[in-house]
Amino acid sequence: MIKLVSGDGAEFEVEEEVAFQSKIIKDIVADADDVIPLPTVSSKVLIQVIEYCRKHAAVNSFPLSPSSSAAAAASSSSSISYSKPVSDPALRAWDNEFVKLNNSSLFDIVIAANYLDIEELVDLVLETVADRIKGKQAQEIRRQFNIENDFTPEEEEALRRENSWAFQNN
Amino acid sequence: MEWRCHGGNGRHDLDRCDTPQRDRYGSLFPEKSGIFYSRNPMQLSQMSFDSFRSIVRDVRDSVGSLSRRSFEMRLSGFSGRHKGKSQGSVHNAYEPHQDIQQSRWATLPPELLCDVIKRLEENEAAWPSRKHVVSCAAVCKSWREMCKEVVRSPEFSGKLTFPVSLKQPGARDGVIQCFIKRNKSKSTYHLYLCLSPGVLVENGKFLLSAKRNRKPTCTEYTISIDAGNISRSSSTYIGKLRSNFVGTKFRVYDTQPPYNGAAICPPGRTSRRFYSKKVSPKVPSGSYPIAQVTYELNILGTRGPRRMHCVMHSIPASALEPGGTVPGQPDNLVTRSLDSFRSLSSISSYIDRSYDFNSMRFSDITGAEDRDAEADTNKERPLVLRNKPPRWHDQLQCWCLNFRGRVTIASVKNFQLIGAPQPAAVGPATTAQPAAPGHDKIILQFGKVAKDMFTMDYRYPLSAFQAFAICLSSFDTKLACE
Repeated sequence: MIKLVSGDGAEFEVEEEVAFQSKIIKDIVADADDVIPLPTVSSKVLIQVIEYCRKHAAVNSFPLSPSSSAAAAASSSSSISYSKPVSDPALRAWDNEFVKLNNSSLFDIVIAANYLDIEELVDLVLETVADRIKGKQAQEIRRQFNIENDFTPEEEEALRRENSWAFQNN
Repeated sequence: MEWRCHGGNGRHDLDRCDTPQRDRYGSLFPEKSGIFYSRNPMQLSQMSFDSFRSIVRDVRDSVGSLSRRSFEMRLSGFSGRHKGKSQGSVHNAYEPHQDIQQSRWATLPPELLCDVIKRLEENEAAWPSRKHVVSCAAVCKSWREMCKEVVRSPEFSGKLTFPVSLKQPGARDGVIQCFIKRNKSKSTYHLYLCLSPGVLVENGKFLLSAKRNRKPTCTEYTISIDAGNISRSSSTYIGKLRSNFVGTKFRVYDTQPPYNGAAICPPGRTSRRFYSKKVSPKVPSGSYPIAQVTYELNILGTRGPRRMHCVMHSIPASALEPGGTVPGQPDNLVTRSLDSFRSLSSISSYIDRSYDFNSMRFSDITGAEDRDAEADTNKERPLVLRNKPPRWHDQLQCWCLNFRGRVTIASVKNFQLIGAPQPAAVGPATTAQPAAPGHDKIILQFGKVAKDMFTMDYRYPLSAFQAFAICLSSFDTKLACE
């Protein structure tokens, strides 16, 4: 078992194969004892991330013994593929449910997943974000993700022209 | 000549390329701890994995004090289930920071933002859904910067995305297929990007519009990026085509200066006027002659095919040589109002690397002395295009060109332009060169497919704007005898 400590001091004991969904943790454990502090990850987020890892660890069958972890890390880093589709349809359906979260929670999860280097989870969230952006005008995107409009009025005028050209079709 | 983080896949590309490399481990360290946080991404990226581990050990030792400070900024109030030791204090610490929480998406690490925009860019490759990429570029400055890095220019991607694409060279590999619809009663012409194969399918993305205005001494075509409002006074005006009195010579004017500034202006002509215009910030755009199209009769008079001769002042002849480029491409269609974007996107803009646009502009304003010096350095020959001479077909008893199915109706307006090997007019000093391999490629092809429908296929080094203007001249020429 590996003990993960969230930023707010909560401790979570998880099985190695769950924790090793994170490449970072896998590398740290090879080198250290089994208590891993994750100071930037809150317990709320860590719970969600562990939930994801637990599900994926159960489905994925990786060689997980610590001795082979270095080899596994080496081979997986060379065969990284962008937007690697999760092949199992049941797992994909589970993933789709998993990301039914508000944008604020998704942000926390993607930051944590990126920090823990959980490739598939980063891909999953970013794909979800790209889907949520699709089909929206700039103003809607700003509203949805609470992004401040930092353009000057003059720049905005130019952007308005640019967008009206893009959306024009007659 | 490539963009820094284009093509390829995902954020792993970023890991490999040399600039905006933000180490993913950078986010490990509490943003506000003041201990490990660095504003310089390179500093973090150079951290070896070993040092990362040792820092982890350090962090482990100081979990109590360090983590407290970090999670106070990040945690947004959480629910049950965890074995937290300090829940009460956490809640108190959190409430005042609601506002910071609200706009966190603007602080998404660049490599993740890059990933999102790449996904969008790849998924929305074709119009009309490509407009969503344009939307994304209007969200905020950091998103715009990232979009400009991810979206490659048409020269390399073959795709038109932003209106500025219309003044950037077409694809190096393959042609960009368009069609022009003419409205005779309104004297308007609309250019569309073909969205489906077949020459008669009116499925297109609007690109440019033009309106013909007859004047006492000439004919003028106003060119705009607005389909409806085509006037010189509009902010969507981007240039014009003007004929001489007899309609055998045409000049293309751009609202933005070409790479070689006014060096292209014939001596004694109106170049000084352009300078005074440029200096005044009130005038949104200038009028710079960037090309000249000349039609000549051949020995058969009006009965045979016409001869076309285009001198592209804004494109050096070397653009067609191997490794050649078109310098000074616009970064924005409306230069003045979006000037500030240039500095923002300069880290990866290949324009900035290949040509110092800003210094060129500075010397433009400084006056005539500098201009003369500049003219000397910019004596590069302009690109000259001529029409491919048609062959006389004995059986059909007509002049023929192979348009590969893109032109279906015989018309004197139809043409194919190729690079001319050596313009004689430029000067006796230059020696004749054998035609380079790029010179037999058809750079612009235009022809009739229906009563008021024409196809226009163009490629590097011409831009859509230049190609459209050249095609408009073919509509107007008086030498036509259909």
